[in-house]
Parts: sequence; C-alpha cells; structure tokens
Amino acid sequence: MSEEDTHDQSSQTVGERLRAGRELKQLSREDLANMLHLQVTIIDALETDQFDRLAAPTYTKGYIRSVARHLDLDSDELIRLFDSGTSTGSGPEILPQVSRPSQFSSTDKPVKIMTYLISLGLVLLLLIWWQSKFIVDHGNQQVDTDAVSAGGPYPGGFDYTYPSIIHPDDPFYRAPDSAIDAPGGTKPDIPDPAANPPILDIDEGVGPATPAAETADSTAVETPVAGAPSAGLVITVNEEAWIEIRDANDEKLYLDIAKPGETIEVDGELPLSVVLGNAEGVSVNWNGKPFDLGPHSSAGVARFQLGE
Amino acid sequence: MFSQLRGLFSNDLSIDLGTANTLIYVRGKGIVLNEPSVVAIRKDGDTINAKSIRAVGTEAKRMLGRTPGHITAIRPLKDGVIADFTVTEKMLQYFIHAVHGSTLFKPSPRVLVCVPCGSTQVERRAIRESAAGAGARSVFLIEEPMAAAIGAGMPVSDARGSMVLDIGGGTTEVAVISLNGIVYSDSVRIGGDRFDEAIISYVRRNYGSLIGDATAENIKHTIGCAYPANEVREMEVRGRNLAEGIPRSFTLNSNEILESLQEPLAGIVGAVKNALEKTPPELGSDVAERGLVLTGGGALLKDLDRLLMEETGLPVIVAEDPLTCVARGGGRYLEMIEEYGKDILQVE
Repeated sequence: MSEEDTHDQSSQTVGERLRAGRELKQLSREDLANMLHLQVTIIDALETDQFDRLAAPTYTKGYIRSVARHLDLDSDELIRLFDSGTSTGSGPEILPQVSRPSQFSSTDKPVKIMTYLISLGLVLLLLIWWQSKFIVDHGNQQVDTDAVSAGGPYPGGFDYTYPSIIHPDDPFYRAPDSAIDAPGGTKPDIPDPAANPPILDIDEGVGPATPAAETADSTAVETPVAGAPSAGLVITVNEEAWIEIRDANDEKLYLDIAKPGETIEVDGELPLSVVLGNAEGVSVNWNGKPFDLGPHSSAGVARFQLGE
Repeated sequence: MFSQLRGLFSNDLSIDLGTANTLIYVRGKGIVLNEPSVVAIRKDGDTINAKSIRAVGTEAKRMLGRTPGHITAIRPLKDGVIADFTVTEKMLQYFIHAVHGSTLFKPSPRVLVCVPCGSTQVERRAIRESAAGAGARSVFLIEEPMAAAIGAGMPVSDARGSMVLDIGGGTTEVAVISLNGIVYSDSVRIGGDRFDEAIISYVRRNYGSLIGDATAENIKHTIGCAYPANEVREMEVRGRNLAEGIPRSFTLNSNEILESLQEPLAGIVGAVKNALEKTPPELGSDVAERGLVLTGGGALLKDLDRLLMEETGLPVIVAEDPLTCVARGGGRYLEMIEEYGKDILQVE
C-alpha cells in the first residue's frame, strides 16, 4: 500500500492534469476513449495514475502524448512528469538491462592505453635485444682481429705475453738478475733449482750461480742433443730490443720487445731459432757460456740457431 | 588475424542503412552519426577509375540537383536496398572512419546492419558484402521492424503481440512481434521518397511547375500532414514554370499537400490493414488493446498517427525519437549479443 501511495504522490499530477484537461473540454472518459480508439480502462488508468495496469512505458507514454495532444495540453511536460515519477524503476522493464560495468571492453580507454603500452614495451625489448646482439657480435669480431694482429692464436694455449719477469719483491726471487721462466703453460711458480736440475739458471756474468747448477750445466753442454729440451738460453738485455725465440716445433717461446735490465731465460725443444732485433744491446749466454753474436749479425739484427 | 587485432581498436556499430538517412549507433556511446545517404562523385576523366568521392552525407545532400557536369550527387540506396554497390561501399567506409575518428589502426568493427524484411537474398548479400568491403570484421543483418521494435522499447520478449510500423525513406515495414520473433511481416516500397515524388507530381500537375527533390522534402517537412487539421498552413515555393521556362514562385497549403499524399498514404494504410488481417487472432487482440507503434522518419509526418487511428480503429502511438529507433534497436541488440549470445534473436 505504501508503495502505491508514494507512486501516487510522485506522479499524481500527470493523471490530475489529464483529468482537468478532459473536464475543461467537457468530455467524458468514454468520449475520449472513442476518439482515440482506446479502451476506457486505459483512460481510467491514466487519470488515476495506475500506470502499472498499462503495458510497457513506451505505450503509456504514447497514450499520454495522444491524450495530451487531443486535449491541447503540453505533452512534453507531461512526459517529463511521467518520467520523473517512474524513474524509480516502477515501470516494467522491457528488456533486461544490458550493462556490465565489471567487464572491460576493448573500446575502454584504459584497455586501449594498456594495449598501446604493452605493444610499445615489446617493441622496446626487441630493440634492446637486437642492440645487445649486435654489440656482442661486433665485440667478438674485435677480439678476433686483435688476436690476429698479435700473431694469431697460439697452438697449445701458449701465452704470448710470456715470460713473466719476477720482481725483486717477489718471495720467489732468488738472484738479483735472474728471472724464472715457466714456459709452455706451466704455472709461473718458481721451482727450486736444486729440486729441478734440468732447468738451469746460469748467469755467470751478472750474478752468482750455485755449484749444483754449474754441475748440471756442464753435463748439459756436453750432451746437446737435437730434439731434447734445451739446457738453457739466457739473454741479458742492456738496451731495448726485439726478441723472438722459436723452438724446434716453430712454437714461439718468446716474442716481445724486451726492456733494458731484463733477463730472459728460455727452455724449449732444440734447436732454438733466435732473432734479436738489436744484437748490440743484448748479451747471450748459451749453456752457461757467452755466445758470440758477431758472425750472425747483419745490420744490427742477429739470426741464429742454437743446439743444432 | 590482423582484423582481430584491429578489432581491439574498433567499436561495435549498428548501422541503419536507410534510403534517406544513415544512422550509426556506437555501443556504449549512442547515436554518433546521422547523415543523409548521399554521395557526390567527381568524374576526373572518361575512364571508370577516374571517379573520386567529392563529398558524403550532409555536404553531398546540399549538392543534390545543384551539381556541375563533372560532379554527380547520387543516393546509392533505393527502396531500402542497394542500387549502387560500389558507391554504397565507399559511403559506408567513409561513415565508419568518421565514427572512429583518427586512429592508429584502420578500424575493423563488428557491424550490425538493418535490412528491410522484404529484401531478397541477393539484396541482403549485397548489403553484407558492402559492409565487409567497408572494413567490417563481421557483419550481422537484422530485420528493420525487429530493430525498430527493440529501439522503441516495445516488450518484444513478452508472449504478447506488438505491432510496429516503420516508415523509412524507401520502404515501410509492418510487423507483428511476439517472443523475440517476427510472427508476420510485410514490406511495401513506399516511404518518404514516395511522398516527395507525390508532391513533385502534384505541383507539376496543378501548378505546371517543376520542383526538385530537396524542395519537395522541405515542403513535406514544413506543411506536410496526413490528416485534415483545423488550421491550414501555407508555404511559398519556387519552381520552374514548364510553360514559360522561367522560375516562378507560388504558394502551397497543407490541404493541397494532404491531397497529394493520398496515394502513398493509402498504400501504407493498406499494408497495415493487410497485416492486421493476417495476424493470428490472439495477437490481433493484443494489438487492438495496446495499439500500433510508429517508428521511422515517416512517423514525423504530421497527424499520420491520427490517420492510421481513424482508418484502422486501433490506438496508434508514435515512438520516442522515431528517426533513431532502428539504429538504437540495433545497438541494443549488439549489447544483447554480448549478454546472452547470438541466439537470442534470429539474425543472419
């Protein structure tokens, strides 16, 4: 009942106005119904604001418009009144409301923006990946060319920066002018000369040699056999000089510009082929004896074979 | 696959491809386009390919009958169906682009097009292909009276008969709908255009003057009526006098226009009576109780409801905003597809 009351209150004016208009024209309900080909019950329902007795709102609005026009009333205003009275949803709903606010549609702005952003992100990632790939490829190429310019890759993993010169501060430093070599990829740990007799350390002119070394040295000199490990080549550098030393297998044992004051000690398979770029700036000791570079020098460059 | 992707950036559209006006309803936005179905084509040479679109819609309509030799303003639809396939396609393409504005991707929307219920399979196929050619991802066709009834807010899903009369530019559709389906439908090729033609021939016959389509339409909008009214309205019209060959001005009144429209109006009344005759009695009684709903641009003709009321003895109601009912109904149907699936109504 209370619902009907509120319904009446909110839209009473529509029915009242229609009735007032009809009475002003001095028409009965039946007359009006006949003129508009409507049933009297419809006119009755309209004038008593019982819109729920009528069909869908479309029809109700149509009836109101027809009646209003016939009675010379303002139909638009009556329709507005009717709409405001039924805006609470009391009128029958024609079709189920089809609004699903929870579901995103592809036309929604946020979805569109997100799609654009994701596409942009993917493109950026692709660019970054391509860039990094390009840099890696380029970098590899760079390393390769570096290796080639430095003499190419060395078989057997030979480290061409060899030999390492032992600094006097080093705990393995033994003699002031002697350096310890560990060719062929062996550790640069300095072996004890006494424990390793084949590796000789002879440097008579510069530093003191141990007697044990001398003994070993003399045996090595007496039996220089081709193909056997060399007994010892010691090069003392006085002036900067290019030095290249290859063993019997043509493997580079030393390939560098030696600095003044360095002592280069090389072991390798005999015979050793030696090139000294500045023959006058170096002194060579072969198996503990000074080696005369004079016959092998030409224009300051000495080329010779040792242990043949 | 690309059309699916582009579909993400497109809106679903409901298109009322009418003879006189094309309306586009965008789901969630409402009616966004209401333009006359007119295309102005410029001919740049003698070859077929030398044609280009000069204007579409309102701008093209202003050119109707006022074009120089190299431009032709044409209406690509006639009697509710496509008369010029290529031009219709171009027009649809233009409208779809206009609705989407400038976007990064070429729009590829799902499109629902309303077709007259009397159209043949060939005519429907032409509309479908035309919409697909204009960039639609998928095309649904819905019969105009159904769309009109949904758009007018009629209770189409009820087990009660609802009768709708949709008077368009080219055709008039009458249908009785119950339980989401069309029980009876008929289509007559009488519409707003026939009203214009009737006015033109009346003026020619009685005044010996020739007036253009646009003038005739203007007369119809201003003083046209379908039932004798208490007040008589007048309008001054200029046309070319056929005897003298020079433009002359004369005055027409609403009663003359009423007289001129008798023939097409009788055709519409006949169609409604025919429909009532063929409606099953149960549904007929529902219609007699609740009335007939008028939609379409033709419903705006003054006192047309009154004429039908008198002729049929039924209550007649003009829907709210009758011009956009079909497009709105199509849009509502697109929403219903999302909600309930495609099977809720019969569409092709």
